[in-house]
Amino acid sequence: MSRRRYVAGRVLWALVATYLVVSVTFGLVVVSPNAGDLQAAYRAAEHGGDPAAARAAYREARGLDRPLLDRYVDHVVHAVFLQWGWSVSRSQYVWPAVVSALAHTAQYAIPGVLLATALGWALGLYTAFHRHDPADRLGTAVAFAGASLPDFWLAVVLVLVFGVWVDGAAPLGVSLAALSLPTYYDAGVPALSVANVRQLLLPTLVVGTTTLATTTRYARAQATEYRDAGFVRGLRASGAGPLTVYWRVLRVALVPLSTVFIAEAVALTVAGAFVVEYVFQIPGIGLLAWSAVRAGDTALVVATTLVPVLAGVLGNLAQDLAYVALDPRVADGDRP
Amino acid sequence: MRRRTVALGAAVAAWVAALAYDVWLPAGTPTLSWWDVRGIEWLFGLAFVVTAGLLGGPLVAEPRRARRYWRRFRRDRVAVASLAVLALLLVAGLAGPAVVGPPRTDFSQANLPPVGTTTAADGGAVHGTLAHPLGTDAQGRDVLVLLLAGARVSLEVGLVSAALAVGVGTLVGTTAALAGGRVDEALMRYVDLQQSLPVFVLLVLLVYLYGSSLVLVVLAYGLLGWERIARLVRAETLQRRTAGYVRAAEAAGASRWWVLRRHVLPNASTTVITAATLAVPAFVLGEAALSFLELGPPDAYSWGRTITAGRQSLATAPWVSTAPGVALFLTVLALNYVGEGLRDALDPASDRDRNRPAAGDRIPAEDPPRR
Repeated sequence: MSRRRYVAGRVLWALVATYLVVSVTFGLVVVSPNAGDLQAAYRAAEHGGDPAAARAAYREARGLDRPLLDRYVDHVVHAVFLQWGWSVSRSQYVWPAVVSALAHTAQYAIPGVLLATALGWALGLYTAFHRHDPADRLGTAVAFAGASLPDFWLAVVLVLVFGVWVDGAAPLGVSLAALSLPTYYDAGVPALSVANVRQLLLPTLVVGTTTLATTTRYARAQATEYRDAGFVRGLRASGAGPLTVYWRVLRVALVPLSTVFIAEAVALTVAGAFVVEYVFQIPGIGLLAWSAVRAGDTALVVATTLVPVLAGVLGNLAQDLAYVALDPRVADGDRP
Repeated sequence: MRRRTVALGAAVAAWVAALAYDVWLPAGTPTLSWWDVRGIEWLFGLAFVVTAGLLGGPLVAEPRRARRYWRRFRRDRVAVASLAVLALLLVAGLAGPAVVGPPRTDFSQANLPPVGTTTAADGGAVHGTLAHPLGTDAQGRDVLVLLLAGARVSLEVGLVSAALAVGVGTLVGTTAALAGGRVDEALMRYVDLQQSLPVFVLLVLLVYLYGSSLVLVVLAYGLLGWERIARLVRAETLQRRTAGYVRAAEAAGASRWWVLRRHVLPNASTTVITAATLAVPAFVLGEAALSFLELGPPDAYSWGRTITAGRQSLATAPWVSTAPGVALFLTVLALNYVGEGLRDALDPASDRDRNRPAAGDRIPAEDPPRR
C-alpha cells in the first residue's frame, strides 16, 4: 500500500470513528431517563397541576417532542459546526465555555507532559545503559511506585505538605514558610507572572509524576533492546561519546515511544484533568465537566465529555501518522 | 466431560437458581433475613465462582505444574510479598465487612487520632486508643472499618470488571484470529478506536445520564477495557494455529472448536492471566477517582470517597485521607508487581534464559497503561 493511500485511509477512519462517537453519544442521551421532565411533572403534581401536561410542555420547550430522526440529524449537523448548544448553568454557549476552559487546562498539562516526557526519556536511556547500578535500581523502583501512585491522592498529600505543614513546621529552628505554595488556583492572576507559575507548580508536579513513571519504564525497556545492537557497537568502535550513542538509540526508539507520548498526553488532558482541577480548583475542562454534572447541565456535560473522546480519536490518528513519518516501513505492511 | 467442568457448571447453575429466587421474591424482601444481596454482589459471586473454577481447577488437577509455576514465581521476593498483600486484601474484603459491620456515625467520637499518637485539636490533648486503632473521621466513623468496607468495593470492582474484560477480550481475540480477513480487520480497527477512548470520561457521562452504581462502573471498565487482552489473545492464537500439534489435530479430524478449546485457549491462558492482572489497577483506580470526585456510587464506602471526605479536616485529622490512600497505593503496587512476577513465571521463554534479567528489564506489554 502506498504511503499516500495509507494516510488517506487513516484520516478516513478517524472521520468514521468521530461520526460513530457522536452518534453513540446521541443514543446514550436519548435512552437515558430524562431527569428534567420528571422534575417538571413532579413540581406540577405538587402544586395541583397536571403532571402529564407539564411533562409535555417541558419536552416541547426543549424540542424533545420532535421525531427522533430530526433530532439525530440536528445533533450531528450541530456537532460538525461546533454548535453544541446553550449551557443553562453558565448562561453562555457551550463552545466558548469549552475553549476558555481548555486554555486553563493547557497551562499546566502541556508543561507537565513535555517536561516529564523529556526527563523520562533521558532517565530511561541512562538507566538502560547502566543496568544493575544502584542508580538504576533506585530509578526503576521509583518509576514503579510512581506508576502505582493514585494521582488524586498525590494531589491531596501535596496540598497537605505545601499548604498546611510547611506553614507551621520549623525543623531545627528553620522556618519552612518560604516553601509554602498556593493550593487554590486564582484565575485573576496574569498568565505571565511569578504568581501564576507558583500556583501552577503543584498541578504540574501531579501530572508530571505519573507521566514520568510511565515514560521512564517504557523508554528503558525500548532502549534495552538496542543496547547491544550492531549500530551501537559500531558507533562505540568509531569513538562516539555516550551522548551521540543515546541520541542514535533515541532516534530508533522514537517510533514506539511516540505512541506512549501521544496516548499519555491525551489520557492526561482528560482523566487527570478531572482530579487535578477538582483538588486545585482550576477552571479547566475537568472542573467544567464536573460542575456541569453537579448542575444537571446536559448540553455542557455532553460537550465536555465529547471533547476528550474526540481528542482521543485525533490522538489515535496522530499516532498512526507519527508512525508512518518516523518509520516508512509501516505503510508497506498494513499493521504496525 | 471432566469432573471439574461438571463442578463449575453446577456452581454456575446454583448461582442462576439463587438469582432467579431473588428475582422471584416480592420487591423489597431481603434475599436472606440478614443480608439483602445487591446487584454488584450477585455479579461478584458469579465472577468469583468462575475465576476460582478456571484458575483453581487446573492448578488442583495438575499439582506438578502448579509447583513448577510456584518455584519460578517464588524467585521474585517482591512479587511474593505483593501476593501476600493481595491475599490480605481478599480476606479483608470478603470477611472484613461481615465481621465488623458497616461504618457507624458517632459524633462524640469524632476525629480521634490513631493509637499511639496524640492531638491537641480543641485545647485538651486527645490520645489515640486501641478502640479505634487507625482513628476516626469527622463523623466519628472508625477508619479501620471504613478501610475494610473500601477493600470490599475495590475487590468487587477489580474482580468483576477483570472477569468481564477477559471474557470479551478472549472472544474477540480468538474470533479475529480464526475468522481472519475482513472480520479481523474490522475487529482490530475497533480495538484501536477503543484504546483511544478515555474510559473514565465516558464513565462520568454514563454516571450523569444513568445514575451512579458499582454495576455501571464494572460494566464500563469491563466492556471498554479489554483491548490489550484481545490483542494478546489474537497474536497467541495466530501463532498456535500454525503449530505442528494443531495441524496434527486438524489432520486427525479435530473440529475448530476442539482445537480452540484444547490447544489454543490453554496455551493463551498464561498470557491472559498476566494481562488481566496488569489491567486491574486502572479499573480500581478509576472507581476510586470517581468516588473521590463525589460522583461514585452513594451506597459504596469506596477508598476514594473516604479520601475526599478527609480533605475537609486535612489540617486537623490528616490520618483520615492518608490511611485509604496508602491502602489504595499498596493495592495497585502489589497488583503491578504480581502481574510482572506472573509474566516472568508463566512465560516459557524465561525458562531458557539462565541469566535472569534485572527487574526493570521486563518489556512492558505493547500498550502503555491507561485511564
